[in-house]
Amino acid sequence: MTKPFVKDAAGHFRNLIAHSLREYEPSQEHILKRLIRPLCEDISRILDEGTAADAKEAAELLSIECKRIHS
Amino acid sequence: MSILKVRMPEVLDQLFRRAVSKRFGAFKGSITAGALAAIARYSGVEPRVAVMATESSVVIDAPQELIGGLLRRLIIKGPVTATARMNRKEVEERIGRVEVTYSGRNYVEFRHVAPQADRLLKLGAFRAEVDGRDIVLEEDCLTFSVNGLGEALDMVKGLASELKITLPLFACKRKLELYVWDEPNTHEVMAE
Repeated sequence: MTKPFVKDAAGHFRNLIAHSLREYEPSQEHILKRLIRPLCEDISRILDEGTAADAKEAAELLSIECKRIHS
Repeated sequence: MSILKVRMPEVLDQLFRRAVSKRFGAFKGSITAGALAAIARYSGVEPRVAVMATESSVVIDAPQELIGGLLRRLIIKGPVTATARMNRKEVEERIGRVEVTYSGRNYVEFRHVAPQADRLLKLGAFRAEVDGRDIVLEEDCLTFSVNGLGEALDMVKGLASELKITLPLFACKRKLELYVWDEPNTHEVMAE
């Protein structure tokens, strides 16, 4: 069962990618505050509270999002 | 298409805003709506509303009242599963009683019976699973997963009607973007 903070990381990463596909770029502040910082918190939580399996699953979910960029 | 952003001194910025303002510029007919949109884009003025709809998601950067209006239109069939970066007490103070399914340091996952998703806005930031869809909110930034472009456009259509903007939905086959600026007061729609 996927831990909630692993799903959070995937969701925030997906959000970051979605913003990068927009014609008009969001401001640096928006990118940092709404997109990067939440993702950083997710990564910290995976390291603090997750297991090795959670970390692997997070990487796999992020990888799925990466593949969508190329498809 | 490239986007140029420039930093300008405050005095120049004020002159620019005066030139493109409705009262002093556009109203006198010295500048067209299209030129206003171009100036807003190329000067790097942050739009008040930015929306992108694709076949997999809707991304909305907008004031919370607009995001709330969009979430209010969602009909939720069952309980919502959501996460928030706060403890249970803080969550319950904002949205009422919840059933906690996971808790960590300053973090909680919970189930909540919310007749309308806009209630979750009180959390400020959350990720929620609603009827198989993923909703991520960070203050004024909402991302909503959808099943197909049709669903995405339906959501954006409602938002655009609140802004009194007509969208060229017939021209949209892959992606639609909407940007609304306050200063200068203009908007731009891009459909692919």
